[in-house]
Amino acid sequence: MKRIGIVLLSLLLGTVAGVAGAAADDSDILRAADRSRGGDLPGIVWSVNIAVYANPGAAADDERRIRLFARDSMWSAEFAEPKKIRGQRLLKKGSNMWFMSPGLQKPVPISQRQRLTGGAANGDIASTNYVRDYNAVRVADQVVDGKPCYVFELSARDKNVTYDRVRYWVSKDDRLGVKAEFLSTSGKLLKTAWFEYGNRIQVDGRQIPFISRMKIEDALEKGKLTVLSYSDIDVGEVPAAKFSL
Amino acid sequence: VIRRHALSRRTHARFGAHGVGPRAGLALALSLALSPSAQAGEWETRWPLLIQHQAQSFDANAPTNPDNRIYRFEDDAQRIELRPELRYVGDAFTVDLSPRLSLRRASGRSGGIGWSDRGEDVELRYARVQYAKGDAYVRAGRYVNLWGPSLLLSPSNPFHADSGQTSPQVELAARDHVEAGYAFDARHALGAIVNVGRGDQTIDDFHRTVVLKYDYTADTASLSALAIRQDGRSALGGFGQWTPSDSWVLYADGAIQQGRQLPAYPQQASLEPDRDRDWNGSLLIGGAYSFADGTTFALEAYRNGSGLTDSERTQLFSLQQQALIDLQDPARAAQAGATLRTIADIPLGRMGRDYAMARLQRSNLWDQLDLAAIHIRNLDDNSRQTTLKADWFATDALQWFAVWTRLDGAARSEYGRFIDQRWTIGLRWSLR
Repeated sequence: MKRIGIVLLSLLLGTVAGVAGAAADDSDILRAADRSRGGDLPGIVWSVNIAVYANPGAAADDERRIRLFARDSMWSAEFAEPKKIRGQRLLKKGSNMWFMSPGLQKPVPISQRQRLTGGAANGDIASTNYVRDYNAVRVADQVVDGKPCYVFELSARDKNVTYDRVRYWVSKDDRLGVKAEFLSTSGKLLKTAWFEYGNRIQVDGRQIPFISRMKIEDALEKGKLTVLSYSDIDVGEVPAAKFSL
Repeated sequence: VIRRHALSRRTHARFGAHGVGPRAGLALALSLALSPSAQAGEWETRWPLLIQHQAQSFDANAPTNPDNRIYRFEDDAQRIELRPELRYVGDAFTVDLSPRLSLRRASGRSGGIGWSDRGEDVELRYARVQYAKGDAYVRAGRYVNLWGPSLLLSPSNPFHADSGQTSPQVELAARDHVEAGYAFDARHALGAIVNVGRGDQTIDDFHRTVVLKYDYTADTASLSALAIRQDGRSALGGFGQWTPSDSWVLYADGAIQQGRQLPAYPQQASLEPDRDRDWNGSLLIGGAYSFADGTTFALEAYRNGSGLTDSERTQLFSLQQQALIDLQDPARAAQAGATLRTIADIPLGRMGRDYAMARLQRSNLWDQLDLAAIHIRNLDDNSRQTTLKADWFATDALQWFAVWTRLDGAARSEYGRFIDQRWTIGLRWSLR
């Protein structure tokens, strides 16, 4: 009886250790994927070009250029193009958001429902920190575009994130996010995104691939495509004054 | 003639006209920022050209302005103004300069006689230098210092309580400030602000003011606390907002202060600022809801601790009536004129004690159109102001705008005393 108890205890401890090990491994995978999308870094500055296509193959219907400064859970987006919105600024600290324009000269609090343009939500232009913002469950592996991938079901830890649920494919070879499906709380598909990593940044003394392009297909408006291109990337501490009102 | 543009917020003072100190300080800061020793930076420039036509109507038989002989309000006015915005961004220094080059024409009728007026102006409207190093910054210059969650006003702001959003093409008068701040981390920041000159402001209302400001930001809320010292009196203020969901923003803004902020009327001691140090408060509370399409509806209630009671308001309009009579007497005309000017200078939204405000706003309609409707009601005298605004971004460089404002109320009420309606149409063209 005593032996059976020891065996059961060993099995139980082994199972717990195994789960803990798997969880740590999952976090490492997601953290690495986050890092290549601007998360888990001391701070980052980048330019984002957002192009919206109502019809695939046609010229962009709308195009905007933003300079983004991010640190911790704060980001500040400064609009550079087109002329009509040049000088406007969006500031986000936690779930608090403010809008500033040169003419207004006053930070006005806004809700997160205010969208930037086309298919890009506020969260799409900011750095990604899925380890911090979501609970993750790993499900069966899949192959995407010939790449073996880990698949994660992510659910938001609170209401402050852009999407309630995310299904996320991370490449096994290089631990880069290759595809994401953004879903509503009920599981309705809102958007599908694909990621490319043509940039490189220096982190902890080594070069890592970094996101260069994010292509978003709108599931609610068929055919609508939003392409975010990332450039001019600087990694490092961003002064807090950048996030002052 | 008391004042030709009773509701405009500024006239045409040139930069530095009110003292050498701010001008010298800005010149020093500019030379530091742009000196070869400063690290290389970039200039960003915008060149908007504003062309607008404004017309207004008013009661020609109003007891406060019979036949428009007292205030000489214009019937219509046209303005062409180049509003360059020049920004230098270096590693540590940021410099913002915004000069104005304008041509203006106005016409009207007073006492049955038509008149017209032309003018041109070249001035530096806004100028600011900021030096930021790490989590600390120092900034100085002539600029508008706005804060608070309400789009329309901030009771806790001793520099610029009115945000000017009911007449968006009218620019607020900038003041001269020096400020410094430090962010301890992502959540906590401390700043100090002092005004050093009355700036681009013709109204002689400068009050030396020192503000200590502490900002705290949590995940779903932010809060700012203010300690204010103005003309030897103390005040405490604060504002904050709470974002309970992705569609709601709830907010409050208020201050308690010693005495009431009333203007000094040359002819009537009883309406002068309180000499006692009793504490009284002002509070604005509001909430905004955004629908799924981005349309936002906001409601606000405002208690103005410095507003006039019913008896004081009656007294004020009696004072105005007496000043109109005294204006005919050469011995009293100067003092009467000063009194009438002071009464005309009471900003809209500051005379009463209780207000309600509603705002409906839709931005980026078809990616081209911004629409807004704003209604402000003085609950004490039941006078009100309604503004409808439309901005059409016809092309990347061309924006058309139209603003219609209607002011209703009795002749002796806050919004009913001067103007009935005003229309503004115009365009804003980005030259580069």
